[in-house]
Amino acid sequence: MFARPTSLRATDVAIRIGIVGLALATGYIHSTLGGLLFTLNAVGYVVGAIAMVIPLALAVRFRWAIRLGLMGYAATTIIGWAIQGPYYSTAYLAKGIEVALIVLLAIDFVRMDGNPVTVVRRELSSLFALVTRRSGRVGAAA
Amino acid sequence: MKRLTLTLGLVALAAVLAACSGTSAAPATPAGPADPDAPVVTAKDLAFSPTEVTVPAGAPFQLVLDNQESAPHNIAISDSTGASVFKGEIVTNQKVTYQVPALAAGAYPFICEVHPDMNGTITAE
Repeated sequence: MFARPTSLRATDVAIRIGIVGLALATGYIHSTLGGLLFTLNAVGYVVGAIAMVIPLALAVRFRWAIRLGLMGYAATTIIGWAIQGPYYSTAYLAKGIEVALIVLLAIDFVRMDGNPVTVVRRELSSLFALVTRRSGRVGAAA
Repeated sequence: MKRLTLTLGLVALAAVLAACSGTSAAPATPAGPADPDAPVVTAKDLAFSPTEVTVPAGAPFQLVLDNQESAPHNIAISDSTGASVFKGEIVTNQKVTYQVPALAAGAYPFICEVHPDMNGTITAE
């Protein structure tokens, strides 16, 4: 269930701390705004921050997806704000934090997983192989 | 790789610094004597009260927003076409007096820009 401890370099640890800190910071800002939408947004950031560091084997295996998901989540939040506003100091601060979060996640992705296109191709081929194997088993049983 | 990491790191730092230097786009509360008869709109539990406000038409007027909660609120007034006619400063746990420009006779919807579900109508007559 739990992943074996991995040895991260000091830079990687610092980047990971930065990601968690920024995600919690923007999550906190959203939690202070009131209303269901902002509260759910805050919860999403907290869940993302936890998923980035939790030592569960499943989370470690799919950390690349968590990175991409959190980047997409932050980007969606920024786009939603750009469309609807409001434009004031706290919002600018939150968006600045989210841009920084996306950049740090991109750095972390490149350092940990490499080229995103290669990662997605590799995962798709793994999935395809899994599906093929299962259909083969079902065919043999029939 | 190190150069890319450094560059992206600097971009992230710049984004945070730029965000920290952001300023409010909304107009500030005007200086000057407050009108004791100015209508007061209270913001509490993510709702305005009252939601119907009557003001004199054709003359600038003061409008007080009494935000009684920690969530940020303001009053943004638009005309019947949806065009913005006034945007008040966003405040938290604070009473603020807005100086609103003259409105022609008619009904003007107002909302909180942070929480567009909070709304009401200003009638100028």
